[in-house]
Amino acid sequence: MSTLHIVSCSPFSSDSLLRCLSLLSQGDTVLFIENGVYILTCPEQLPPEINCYVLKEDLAARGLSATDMQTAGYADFVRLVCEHDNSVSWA
Amino acid sequence: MSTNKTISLLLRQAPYGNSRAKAALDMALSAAVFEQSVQLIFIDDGVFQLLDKQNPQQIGSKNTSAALAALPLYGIECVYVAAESLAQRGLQLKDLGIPVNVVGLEEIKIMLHQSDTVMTL
Repeated sequence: MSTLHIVSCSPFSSDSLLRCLSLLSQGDTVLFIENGVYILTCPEQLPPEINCYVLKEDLAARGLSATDMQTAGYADFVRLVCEHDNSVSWA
Repeated sequence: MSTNKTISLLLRQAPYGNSRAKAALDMALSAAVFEQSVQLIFIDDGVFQLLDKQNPQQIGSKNTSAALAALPLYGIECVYVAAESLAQRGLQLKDLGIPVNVVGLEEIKIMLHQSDTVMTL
């Protein structure tokens, strides 16, 4: 069963991201939304083989620009939820 | 006649995830209108509130950083930013939208100790 992990907390103000990363399985995807997009200021925290997206509307709101990470829009968000068996929110 | 008090506002949260950033600025401006001495101290994720080029139109929010430019009009001449918080997040002065005073934790400690009131959001 594939899981979409939705991370909405800043990596600096919560250890939820670390907990999420420790529970990833093969085939899982991580989507960074809301304050989760601040991961772009410390991408070295992410393991190399992770499949992840960052929500571009939340990037633009915060004045950040996407670097190497794949971006997703609201429509992609819906698609990702449908494509995975489970969705887990990390706040 | 209003008593002048020093109010330090510690801003620790990133903008748009919740409404604290906007509430903090509203509070600061209100206090300044009533002639209180307001010190804004951005620390931890609060430094993200100062980032330039914020455009929250697509998430349906107002740009909280726009009010920052108006601070001097209300008599809040300088805002303080924790050097350590900037460094931790890989941010530099050129990434910020307004001029700031970068300070160390020792200076922030003294500011808080000397304030009549300290609030944190």
